[in-house]
Amino acid sequence: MQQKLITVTLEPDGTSKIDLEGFADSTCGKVMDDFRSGDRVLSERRKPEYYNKSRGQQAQQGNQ
Amino acid sequence: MSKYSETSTTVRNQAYLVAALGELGYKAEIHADGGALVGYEGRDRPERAHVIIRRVQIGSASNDIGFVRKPDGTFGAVLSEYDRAIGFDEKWLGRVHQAYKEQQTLSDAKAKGYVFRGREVVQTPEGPQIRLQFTAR
Repeated sequence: MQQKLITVTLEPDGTSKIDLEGFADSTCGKVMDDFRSGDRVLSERRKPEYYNKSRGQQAQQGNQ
Repeated sequence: MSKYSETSTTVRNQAYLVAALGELGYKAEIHADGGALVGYEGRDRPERAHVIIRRVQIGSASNDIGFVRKPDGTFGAVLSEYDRAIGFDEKWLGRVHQAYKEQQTLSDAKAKGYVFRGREVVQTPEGPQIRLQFTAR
C-alpha cells in the first residue's frame, strides 16, 4: 500500500505549498482543508501522475 | 491521487503570531484591548495594536511595530515608513507569515492526528524555505 504523504513547503514570502501523495480521491479534499487552515487558495491542481493514471485506466477499459 | 495547492497565509491566531515572533527573536507584548504604539521620540502614537514589538528590540531610531486585530478576526501589521525603509518591510512580513504558518501547521496537524515526519530548511536566494513532512494514519 502506498504511503500517504503530506509535504508542506513554507516559502519566505509567506505563501505555502501543500503536496499530497498517495491519497484516495475522496479524502484529498479533507486533507487539503486540514492543512490550509482557512488560508486563501492561490492555485490548486492535480499532479501529472493523476492524469497519467487516468489515461492508463481509460486505455485499459478501452481494451476490454 | 496526487494533488497540489498553493495558499497565502492569513494570520488569525494570536498565540501562533506571538510564538512566530518569538521564533524570529522578538518578545511581543499582548494587549487584549489594544495598546498604544510608542514612536522613536518615546511618545505614544495615535496607532494602537493588540500585539506589540517594542522599539527597543528593533532599533534606537525605530517605532514600535504592532499587529492589530481587524473586525474580520485577522491581524494586520502597523509599520512606520522609517521601519519599512530599514528592512521591516513586506519581505520581513513574509518571514513572519512563514514562521506563523509553521506554528499553525505543526499544531493543527498534531491535533488532527497526522504524524510529523521531519523538518528541512533549504536556503534559497529569496531566503530560507521550510519543508515539513507528515503522514496520515
